[in-house]
Amino acid sequence: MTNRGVRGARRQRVRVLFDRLPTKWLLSSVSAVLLALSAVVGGLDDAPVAPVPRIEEGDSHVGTELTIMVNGALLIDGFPEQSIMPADGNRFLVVRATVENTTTEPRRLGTVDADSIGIAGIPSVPAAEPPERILVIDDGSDRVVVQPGVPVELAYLWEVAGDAVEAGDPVTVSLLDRDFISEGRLTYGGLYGDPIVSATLELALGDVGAGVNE
Amino acid sequence: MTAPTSPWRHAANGVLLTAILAVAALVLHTTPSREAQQSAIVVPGVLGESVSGRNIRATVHSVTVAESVTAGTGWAGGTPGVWVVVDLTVHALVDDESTMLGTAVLRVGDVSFSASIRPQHGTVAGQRLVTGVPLNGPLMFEVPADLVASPAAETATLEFATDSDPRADSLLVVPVDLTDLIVQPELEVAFPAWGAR
Amino acid sequence: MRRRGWLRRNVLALAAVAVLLPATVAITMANQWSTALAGSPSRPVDLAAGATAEYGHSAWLVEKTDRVSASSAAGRERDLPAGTDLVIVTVRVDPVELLEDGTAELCTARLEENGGTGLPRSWGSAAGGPITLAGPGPDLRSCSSDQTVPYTFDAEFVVPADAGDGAALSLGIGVPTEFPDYLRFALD
Repeated sequence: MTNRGVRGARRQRVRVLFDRLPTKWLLSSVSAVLLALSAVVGGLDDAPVAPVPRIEEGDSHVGTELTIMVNGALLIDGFPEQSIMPADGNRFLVVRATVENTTTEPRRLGTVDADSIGIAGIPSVPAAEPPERILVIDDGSDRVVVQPGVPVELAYLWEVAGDAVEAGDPVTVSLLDRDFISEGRLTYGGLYGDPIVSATLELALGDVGAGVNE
Repeated sequence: MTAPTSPWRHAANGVLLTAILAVAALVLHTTPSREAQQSAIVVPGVLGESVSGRNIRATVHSVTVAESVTAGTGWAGGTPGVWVVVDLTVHALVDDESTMLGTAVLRVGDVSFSASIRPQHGTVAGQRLVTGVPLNGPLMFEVPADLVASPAAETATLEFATDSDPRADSLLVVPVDLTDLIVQPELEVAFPAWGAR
Repeated sequence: MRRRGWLRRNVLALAAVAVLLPATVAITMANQWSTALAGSPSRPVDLAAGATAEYGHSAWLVEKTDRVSASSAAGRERDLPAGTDLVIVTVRVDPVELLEDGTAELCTARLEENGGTGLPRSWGSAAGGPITLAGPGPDLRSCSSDQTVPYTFDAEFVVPADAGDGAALSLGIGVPTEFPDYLRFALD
């Protein structure tokens, strides 16, 4: 009986204290405390984003899965030997690059998405357009699987309107990394988000006219 | 209303609860992971002998390492590494409706290499198979030049399966010792041919 | 004493669970499997050699079967791979009804081997297969949608020389709209 009495009195005191809280000001006082805390850790501005590094032609850039060295960009009428010709009035913009796979699995470079090299700044090519073809320069084959540890010279082809670009025009080549989200639950292989630009180059386009033998 | 529960009853409930929790923990920890559920069914084989899975039978006749290879189609691909060339006979066993040699992988340590499809019809990689009619031809793997002498190359394995997704179907695994092989300067391989050798 | 009381009180619910739980599992599984099986030729209708069958919009009959070995002259003419035989099945098709657009229906032909000591095997037609045979070959290798009168086609299959040893070969004719049923003609 006496125990209950003491406990009851304590509860009464706590209740009175709670009644004294200024509930009208509760929300604004909590917000003020949180704002003060955020000021201590740097304020409400966006965190500064590191700029994408600019590299030069011939520099080797190490990405998360591929190490890419861009060797140049040029315009060409077509590849008649491999029967790869653009539509009438169009030409090919070719980015030559040496690509090395630094993972432990072979990597298929496909033309469904631009996920290793992309171009920008060309009028007739929409943003994030994947290459029309990727060819191995050595034998012209278009089934490109980059094996781990074996660098391969590749030609990335985009179809451009013949009069939209000419020799000397600048093109921005961006080197992309795949953004790994998770292993597929039912599908085989990983699931990837939009590719992340890990480096860019500004190149001046060359022009080889009807083409060199390659 | 009812009689108060005795302490023995409480203890018995506690023991039962602990037992159920222990069983639940056991089930949780022994459930096969997604990798284990979907894993390929490995069929080990030996170099020179035929090894059979559910719908594939393959025989690795020989493995050679060469710096340059010329295929039966005339294709001669260059590489900064070396070529590991496998002479293979493969056929489907029960069904050839859209059956191909989808997986042809050379695994050295934890790095895997897929058979090159640059030679196109000059290699049996990715070619369609026929039930019971063997396809004889080469597989070419492009590997870094220093891989053949590395310690992991002693326990390299070749893996074959009918689908490019090897999960939940037979995967034929043949061990090869790459360090035993001398790197030849050049090699000519035959065009893939059908029928008994 | 208390235990028996609980059982007696809940016997109806327990009986319902005992019936419904296996029924639910069975129905769910049947649901999943029926769509898979209905879309593929999984129910053969066995027919003897020389029998005529009405299936889909046409009547079907196996006229004759030829078997050419790779070592024979005819086999060498077609460039058959070593150790294989060429099985040529002549099928007579009578397009009894035409489809809505006036064409005859198309079919798939497969050669099946059943009943031997090994697992059942099947082969697809050589026409769409990876082995290229020399020579002109038959005029019609499978069903043709242009034909409106009864016609014959020759389905060719490249099989290993031991196909049919100790087992029965049969020709499976399937029309996609009639799946899961398909005709299986025994070949002699």
